Amino acid sequence: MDQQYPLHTSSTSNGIRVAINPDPWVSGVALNLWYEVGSAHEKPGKTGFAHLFEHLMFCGSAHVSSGEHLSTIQAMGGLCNATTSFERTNYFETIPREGLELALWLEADRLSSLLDSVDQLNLDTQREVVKEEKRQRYDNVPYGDVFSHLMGLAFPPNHGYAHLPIGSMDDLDSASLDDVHEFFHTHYHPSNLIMSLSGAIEVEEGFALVEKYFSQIPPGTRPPRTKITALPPLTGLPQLDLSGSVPQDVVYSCWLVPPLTDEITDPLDVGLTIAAGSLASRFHTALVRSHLAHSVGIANLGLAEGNSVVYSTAICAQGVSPEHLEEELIKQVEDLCNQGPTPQEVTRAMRLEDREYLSDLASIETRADLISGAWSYFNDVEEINHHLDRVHQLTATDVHQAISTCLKTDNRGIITYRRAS
Amino acid sequence: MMPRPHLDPFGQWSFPLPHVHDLDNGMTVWAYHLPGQHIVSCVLVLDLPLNCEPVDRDGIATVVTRLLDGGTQTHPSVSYAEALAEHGIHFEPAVGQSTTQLMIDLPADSLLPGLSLLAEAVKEPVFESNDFLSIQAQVFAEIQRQNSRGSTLASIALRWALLDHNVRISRPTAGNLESIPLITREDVCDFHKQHYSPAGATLIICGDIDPQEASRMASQAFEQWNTAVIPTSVEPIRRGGFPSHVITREDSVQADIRMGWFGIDQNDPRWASLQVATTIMGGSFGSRLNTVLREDRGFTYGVSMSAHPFRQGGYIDVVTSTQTATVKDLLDETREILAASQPFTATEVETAIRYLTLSAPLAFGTAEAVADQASSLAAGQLPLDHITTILSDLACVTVDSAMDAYRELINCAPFSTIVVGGAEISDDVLAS
Repeated sequence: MDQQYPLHTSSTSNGIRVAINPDPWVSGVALNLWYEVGSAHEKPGKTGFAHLFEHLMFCGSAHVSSGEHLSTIQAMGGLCNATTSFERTNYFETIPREGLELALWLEADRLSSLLDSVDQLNLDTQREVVKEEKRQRYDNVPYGDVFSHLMGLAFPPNHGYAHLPIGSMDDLDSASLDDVHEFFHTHYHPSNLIMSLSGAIEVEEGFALVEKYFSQIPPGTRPPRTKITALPPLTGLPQLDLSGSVPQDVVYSCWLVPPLTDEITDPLDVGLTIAAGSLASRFHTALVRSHLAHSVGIANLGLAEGNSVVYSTAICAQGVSPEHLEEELIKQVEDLCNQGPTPQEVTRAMRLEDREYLSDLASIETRADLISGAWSYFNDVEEINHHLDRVHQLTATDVHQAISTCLKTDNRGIITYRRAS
Repeated sequence: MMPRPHLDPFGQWSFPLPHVHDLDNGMTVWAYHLPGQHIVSCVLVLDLPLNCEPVDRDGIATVVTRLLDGGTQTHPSVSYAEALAEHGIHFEPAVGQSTTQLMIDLPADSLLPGLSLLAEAVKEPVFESNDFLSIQAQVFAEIQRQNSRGSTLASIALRWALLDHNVRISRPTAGNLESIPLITREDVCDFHKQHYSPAGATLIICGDIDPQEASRMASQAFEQWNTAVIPTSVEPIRRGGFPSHVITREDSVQADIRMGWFGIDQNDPRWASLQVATTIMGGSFGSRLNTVLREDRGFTYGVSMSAHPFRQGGYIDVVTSTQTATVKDLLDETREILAASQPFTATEVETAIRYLTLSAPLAFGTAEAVADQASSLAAGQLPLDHITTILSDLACVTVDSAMDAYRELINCAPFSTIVVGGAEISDDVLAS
């Protein structure tokens, strides 16, 4: 990559891993706190808890009242939010440089004293908010439950990836204050935290400010983790038939593939772009232009431990059955696996990846998130500078090998979502 | 614990100004130099009001834009999409009330080929029959999917309630299930021939580029495009009848709720005061509505109030959702909060002004964001320094001016309430 983003790393005296990316062209700073805990680390019967806990992190702490964290950030023009994924929970704010110290102070206060504020009332209120979020994003939209079923098909029960971060209504109902205390003590401490700052900040100043506001917090111990082991490929063509109030039949295929950190991910993802990453892709040309599908996509979920999942989504054109569409889609996968891509296809996919990755890096907010992720997943923040170089060194043979290894048609699972008659 | 730090005074900021270059064919180029932005965002803003669409052909403007990357005379069929991909270009069209906008994002070293391909798409599209049938079916299916979502149904119903039904923008931009099947390939060719022209168009180029060099490339790419058309004015927005109603959506486990008022555009002297008022009521996490409905009562995942300006006029809405059992309670509380029996406080107004002014430099931190805002300026026929002017106007908003705008436009104005949810929800929830 021609453009190298300057990156500097250090650790605070109590073990917070800190990355600084100074950017002279912006007036704000993106602060990204990445706690290495997500839904994959939830116990059976406690699904959705990591995400519910994320909501409680905005309910105040020793010196901050409920809702004050977000309101304070917004009052200085800042953007603030949090997300919970399978392996991590991140809290992020983009603020004017003048507000950085206040933002760090707010984050330090909740890390050091969240439990001073959490009580039954705000647990109950946020439980209802999360249930409304689940209804809005999953339960009240067509096809909204399909990812839950897809993960359940790809992974065995009680596997960390077998459920979505939003969890189940029953498990949310059973969450207690004791669970909150245990979760906080287990996962929320400096040794389980990566913090990235990107933007209008000098390197030494950034390290000093993090040390200043966080160093008094006990380091804690990184929670023991049972390593998620790799599963063998799916066998026996597991299938699930769903139906509901949906406007069109849709067919999904999925494969268990190596995790995000495996070196096969780059050539595999280039292969997926060749399959369905543009209007010039194979799937679009063969399935959409020929009126079999309204749209087709394929993507890697990017899971980091044991396995990831590649899944395709194909919306049936009127009069086309899911079975027929899936059969035609799999023919395209087989062609790609058997013959491999052309050099032109690989070049095009690389250029599309250039644009997509550089677009992600263009915003300091997304860049800080990618830096935290690079440290967490690859133990190397320079991954953000090396990624495109590595992609450009790939050959058509690399891509062919990755696709043919990962997307064997006998190793897929199938979900059909039919319009209820 | 360290003591809470004090905030240093915040610096001044202004929206960037472009290098402006007029082309001989009637187009204007706005080239923004944004150091450090290696992905260049370009938007071609065509002066093409939605009311250009023929009667009974709602959605044809959308169908035409969706066909533009389906092949040109120079790059027929899929070779156009291949050329885009070879240069790492992402193409995205959008249709609005007053303009059609064609966006491309690309690595900076692809700027000239990107502009050339964009020019090809508007100058010499082929509209292949097979591609037309595919896009027509796709748009129809997308409308079916949109209509299956309660949130979309609620938003469509609200516009229909707030605006005169003869105004095109009162109906869905992408058309409907009746109009899309009526569109023919001939209609598409005619629409393109009659309305696609460089006259009055603005080409926005944002990124780490040399503005003069970018303008030269734009000139090179577009100079051969000289189609003349009869211009169409944007139709005036007129008020609707403001009916409130409940729409039944079977199997809903949550109701989508909208409340709406007729609004103003950004040229209205009350615009800055209205922005402050909507921010206090529902424009931030700490707003009155969100504090009560989400943080105190747990009724909803979120609630927002915002103003949506057109070139002339606009509308204001409240957007939220809640489970069926709490629809009435949420609506009762919302109406009570909106009654604003407690006038805005000086602290609320000051906080809202800080939020609106200080968020601007952060929100416009990427080429894509600047291009998007510049496109809105072009669509609204607003001056290049409009954002900076608005920021100055915000600094002059007072408690009284914010309260006056709120009373005139919201509190004392007719409004409509739309609820989309399960069959068990009755019209009783609409009663105040």
